Amino acid sequence: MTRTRLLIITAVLAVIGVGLDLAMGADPPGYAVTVGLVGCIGIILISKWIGKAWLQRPDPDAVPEDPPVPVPEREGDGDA
Amino acid sequence: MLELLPPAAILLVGALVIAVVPRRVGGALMLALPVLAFAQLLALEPGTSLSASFYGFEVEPLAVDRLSLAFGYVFCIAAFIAGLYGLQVMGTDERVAATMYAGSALGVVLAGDLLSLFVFWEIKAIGSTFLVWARRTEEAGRAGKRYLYMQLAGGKLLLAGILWHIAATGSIEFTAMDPGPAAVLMLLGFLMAAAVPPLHPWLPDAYPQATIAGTVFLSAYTTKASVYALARGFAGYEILVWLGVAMALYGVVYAVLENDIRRLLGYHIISQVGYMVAAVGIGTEMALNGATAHAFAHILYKGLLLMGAGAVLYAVGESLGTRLGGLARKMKAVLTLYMVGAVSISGFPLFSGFVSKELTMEAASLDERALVVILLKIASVGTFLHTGLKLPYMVWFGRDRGLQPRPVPPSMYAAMGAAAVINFAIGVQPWLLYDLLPFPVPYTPYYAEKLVEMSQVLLFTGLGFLLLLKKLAAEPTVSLDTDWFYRDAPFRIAGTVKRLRPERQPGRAGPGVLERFPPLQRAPLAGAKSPVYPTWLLGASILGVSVLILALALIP
Repeated sequence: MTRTRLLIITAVLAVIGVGLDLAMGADPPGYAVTVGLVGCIGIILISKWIGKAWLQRPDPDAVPEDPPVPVPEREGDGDA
Repeated sequence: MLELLPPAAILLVGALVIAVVPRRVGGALMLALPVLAFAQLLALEPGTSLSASFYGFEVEPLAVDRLSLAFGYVFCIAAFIAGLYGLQVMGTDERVAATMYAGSALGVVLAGDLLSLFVFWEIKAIGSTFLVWARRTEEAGRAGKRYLYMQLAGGKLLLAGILWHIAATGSIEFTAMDPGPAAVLMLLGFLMAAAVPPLHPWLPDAYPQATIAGTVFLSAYTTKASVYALARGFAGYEILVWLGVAMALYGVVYAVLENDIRRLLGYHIISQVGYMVAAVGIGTEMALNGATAHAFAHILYKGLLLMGAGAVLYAVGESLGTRLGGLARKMKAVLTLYMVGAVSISGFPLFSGFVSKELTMEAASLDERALVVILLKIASVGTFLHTGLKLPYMVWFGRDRGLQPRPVPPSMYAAMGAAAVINFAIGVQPWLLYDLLPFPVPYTPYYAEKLVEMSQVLLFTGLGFLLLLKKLAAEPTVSLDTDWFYRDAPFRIAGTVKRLRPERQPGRAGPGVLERFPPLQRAPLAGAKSPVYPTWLLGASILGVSVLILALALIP
């Protein structure tokens, strides 16, 4: 699945989620969507930023066969 | 008289028996002793106590109420499951240490006075240290030594607080503590054992270095005994609310960066204990129920997660994300059982974490602490992100590295299966857990709005994970933590002093910091032994001295 499609699906589901909240009278509507999506992205980005800036050091026990695990390129990456 | 037999004594005496009986009998005892202790707990009614006179003090090594019973039940269940898990892989010394550790933790939660609590507390520190050393690697030797120093430091803070409290009040009763210097010292001791940052680095340092089964035992007792002590003595202390929230988020941040799967889960212990500490800080009946329920569920699902990670380590000999991957088809059963733990800790409806975590959230909500609720909810997102998505992806679904796992012993599957069944049972029948809590629970976790909210949070966390999958790739790094202050800082200071100091006159200047404190020296090369390397002789000596000191202390 391309990132563009993933973004579209996320946006559609977010709209459905907020609509569901409105229908059920949740206060505030979109709370769970925001906590889940923004929380997740925020945790990853902030943690990585803190890690790169201050915390992470090369593992002294790492061996040459320990490169970062490559994530397979997905078709359409970079479309977003 | 037998009805007043302290359940802790069953395990502590049993540990001594395990040391001398054949290995096969020892294995059977590992399973039988927690069952006996559990049966004894069931026979004890709230209000039961056993007291004796000790140097003019009325000590109560056994005092039962609903709070201590709830912790006692789960401690026994954890001892049985972890013992079953390690049935085919634990050595005799490891079994002795594990049983002693479980027994002393049980003693802590059933102690009715501060002196009894302290004695059990220190036995717990010794037993758990031997569990780390039982792996018999150079790294485990050093990590165990650091762990012991930290536990003893916490124990001394606790002792100082107890003595101050006795001097000030003349009482050794362990009840709600009034704020003051004695309470602060005791609180620091308990916070250190609860792994509250910045006093926490012993946990992610030592737990991943312990044996496969040892880590499962370790995850159950030290931090949860501290949560019990905080709930009994420090409920309603406002600072605990914010320390708990900080813990919940701190563990999540470090888990993003972590490459070692057992250390990642270690950071998540800190995060989850944060919920309990925050609940204790809120201090209402609902919140104390939440802290107890979450401790109960956490022991079960964290044990299951660590058993899954341990099974991977056992099968392929690796625990680093950069060296794992592609095991889904080769270890289907372990993956399935691990995922039960993952969805439990993540708070999926129908699993234990949902019914325990929501109790704490509800307590915070009823106490009108909106910010606390939001921050804990975000920490909950991080929990699912790491334990339910990142770790399984790294280990089971990442690139196949051609690892050929060896078969996992049946006892490991049985233990993981038992933990999975209990997690599911609590999830579908919350009253199984709620009926054990210290106060009545006027709350049902299953209603439409809550289910919709939780489902949305989990769904969008999953989508966020997919969107940023590349950023979560495992990296061969380690992360600086507050242990830097005692592991690296002395060397840097010593190095700076050495550079600034003029050339020493031979025979006139004293030795440098490193020379004077050999334990601070790091082994320069692989293969060099730690200053306190675990040997049979050393272990026997320490155990012997410990028993002697305990015996002397008990002679009036």
